[in-house]
Parts: sequence; structure tokens; C-alpha cells
Amino acid sequence: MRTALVILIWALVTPLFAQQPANEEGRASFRVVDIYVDSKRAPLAAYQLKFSMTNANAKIVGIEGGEHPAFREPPAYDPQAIQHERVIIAAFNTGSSDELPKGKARVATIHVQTTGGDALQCTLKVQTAANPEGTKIAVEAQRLPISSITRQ
Amino acid sequence: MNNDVPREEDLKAPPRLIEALKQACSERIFVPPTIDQTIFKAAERQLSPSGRGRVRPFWWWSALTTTAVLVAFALVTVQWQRSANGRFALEDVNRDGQIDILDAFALALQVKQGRSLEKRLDLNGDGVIDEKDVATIAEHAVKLERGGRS
Amino acid sequence: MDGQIQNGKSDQHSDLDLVAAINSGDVVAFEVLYLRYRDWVVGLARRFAGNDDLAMDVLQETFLYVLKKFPGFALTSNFKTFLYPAVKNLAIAARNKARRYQSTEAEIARVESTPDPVESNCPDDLRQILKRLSQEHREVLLLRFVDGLDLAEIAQVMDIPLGTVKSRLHNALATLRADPRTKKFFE
Repeated sequence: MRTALVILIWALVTPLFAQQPANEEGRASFRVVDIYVDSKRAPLAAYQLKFSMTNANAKIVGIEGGEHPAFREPPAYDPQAIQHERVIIAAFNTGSSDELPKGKARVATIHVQTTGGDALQCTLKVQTAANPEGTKIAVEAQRLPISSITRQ
Repeated sequence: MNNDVPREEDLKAPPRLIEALKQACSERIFVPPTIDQTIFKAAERQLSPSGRGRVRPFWWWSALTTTAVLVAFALVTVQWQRSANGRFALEDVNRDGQIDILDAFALALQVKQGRSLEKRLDLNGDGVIDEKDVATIAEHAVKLERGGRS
Repeated sequence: MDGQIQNGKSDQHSDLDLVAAINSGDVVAFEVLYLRYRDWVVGLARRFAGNDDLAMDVLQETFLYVLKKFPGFALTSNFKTFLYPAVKNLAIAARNKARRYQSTEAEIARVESTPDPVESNCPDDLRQILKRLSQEHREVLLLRFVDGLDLAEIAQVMDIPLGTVKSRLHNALATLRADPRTKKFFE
């Protein structure tokens, strides 16, 4: 019985040590990149943006929705973008003007993993945006790296 | 070894099975407009009189092709952004020559408003034009052309 | 018949009309024919090639191959019947090139049995059972009931006797009828 207990404890503890080899490969950093769209005074009903990273060891690991209720759900994106360095995100809301953001609004957050200590280099391009009537509008997009969560 | 030829009634399938088989193969594959345009350009080259091997005096042919190139350049900057009948991709709901989230948005608005919609907008082939077709367009709009890497 | 395909009336022209117009140099007619069969070709290409990217390559190669037939092309059968062998051969070649090995029907059958991308509209049972069918049986079944070819056309495109088509179709349907998961379709 005692032997079985020792074996059980050993089986449970060993995998914890097995994770340590990650340190041998380099320290992985997780960063969140907030994506903002500024529609000036127009209500923003739809947007499509392309986000790309040029760091050699950077990859997208997750995508979340934004802060405004109209874009709280995660945007549409190609699942193949996960674990790679670029993605196209897009979303729309068929609500009325009152229900849509005006001005600068966080529409999405992209989670990125990098290895090494280099600063994240990325670009964000607006592909299209529209008001509630479906008419294209000019918007500016901005990405803000907020924090870095480093796993040791 | 059975050499009997099956009877005709044994080669028929019930309507429910046929419907299920069609649904199994109904998932539409998005064809990027760039592929359509490549084919169309090849067709213009192949089917135009100069592409069919007619012999013309060199100077006359040079003048003709130079003029054609200038005219084509002017047209291409506008024409591929506009439509001739039947040349828009099905997913290009707003007919602006681009397939993007605005097409999904346009269809979503029409579905929400309960409008009568053209059958061609049933993109997933399930017989109903609804949010699923909207989602189909959205998926195509954000698709990376060559997977996650260019 | 007017050699030019009129705008707005493309759906009214038969394949034969379009082919005749293309032989006269009508580019719009070719575009109409292309758009009419594009989705079917890419779906068929995907069946054989196994992924969307290769299917796109096969789509382009197929219609560039078709283009080279003009002028002077004579359509003597259903256009799908003409396209099918070209699509199949190009798709198999594309997949071989991608995989870098010599193809055989057995290899294709093996690869066909690996899980397909998610087909959200297909009941799981039917999808699983279709995979269990041999490639030859599955293809006859799909050509008949999804692509709408008649038995003689299937014999022509697959280059097999009509009796073999009937036999394979009968066996495929018998498999579906006998399986408890798909028996419900026959009740």
C-alpha cells in the first residue's frame, strides 16, 4: 500500500519537472495588443483590419473582442492565423447608431507570444470600415501594446 | 461471382438520402477573385484575334497593340472595380468588386430587415438565406490566402 | 444564332450556345461558362486533391486547359462529362506533386479515408459511412446523386463499362441501406 502511494505521488510530481525544459529554449513572453479604431464622429458599424508582426519568433495565440458592447464578441478571423504572424480581423454590428461606438474604441485584443527580449514589431492596416447604412467611412486604427506577461 | 445486372429500382436513392448527400458536399469553397481574374485575362489573350495566330504586318500590329494596351490600362483601373452582368462573385453582396466584411454586413442588414433575397445569396446551399450565409461571407472575408503565412 | 452573348441573358444560353460563341472569340461567353462550372470544378478538385489550396491550382489549370481547346472545340457531351477526367487527373497530379510519391488508386483510396475537414452540414454518421466506402463506390455515388450525371455519363467519365457503374452504385446503396446509421434514409 505504501509502495503504491509512493508510486502515485511520483507519477503526479514528475510531469511538473518535465515542463522545465521550456527554459532551455528561451523565455516565452505573452503580450496583449489592444486594437483601437477611431471613427471620428461617425458611428462605427463594421471594420476589417490586417495585423502583421515582423518579429521572427512572434506568433498570435489568441484573439478577443473589444470593450464596447457592440464589439464585445471576438471578431471573425481565419483560424489558420493562430500560431502565425498575421491575421485579418473583422466584425460588424447591425444595431442603430445609438448602439454603436463613435470616436476611438477598443474593438479587439490580440494575444501574442514571443521568445527573446526584442520589442514587438507589428503593423496594423485598415482594410475597410462602414457606418450603419453600410457606407464606407474613413477610420484610423491604432494598436497599443499594454503589458508583457513573462513566463519563467 | 455474381454477374447479375442490378435492377433499375435498386439503383435509385430515396430523396432524403439524396438531400443528405448533397448537404454533405454543399460546403462552398471560396474562390479568390484573383483566380477569376487570372482566368478572364487568359481568356482575353487566347480568344482575341491577335491570340489566334493571324498574321499581320508588323507595323500595323504594333500600332494596334500599343493602342490596345493604352486603352486596356485605362479600362483596367476602373473596370475591375465595377460590374458587367454576371461578373461579380456571389459573395460580393454590395458589388464593389471586393469581398470583405461589408458584404457580410450588407447581407446581415437585409436578413434583419426581412427582405426578399435572391437565391444566389444562399451561399451554403441549405435552402435558406440566413445568418449562416452571413457567417460564410465573413469567413471568406478574413481568410488568409495562403494559410497563416504568406 | 448571334455569336455574342448578350448581357443579362447569360443564364438562358445552353452550354452548346456558349461554346459556339467562344469559338467565335466571345470572351464574355467563356466567362459565363467558367462561372457556371467554377464551383463544381473546385469542389470536385477538392475531393481528389484533398485541400483547398491544391483545388485552387487545379481550378486554374483546368480552365486554362479548356481555353487551349478554342477555337475549334466541339462539345459532344455534357460539359461536366468533358471536365471530369481533366479535373480528376490534374488533381491527382497536383496531390502527387505535393506529396512527392507515385500515385495509385490504392494510395488515393488510403488518403481519401483520412478525416476530411469539418463538413458542418453533413450528419456525422453519413460522413463516416461515406469514408468506409471504397473510393470507386463513393465516386459513383456522388457523381450520380450530387453531380447529377446519368449512368452512361458516369461510365464515360470514369472510363468503365456501364455494367460496372451499375454494380458499384448498387453496392454503395446496399452498404448505406444495411448500415443501421443510414438505414433511416431508406425507411
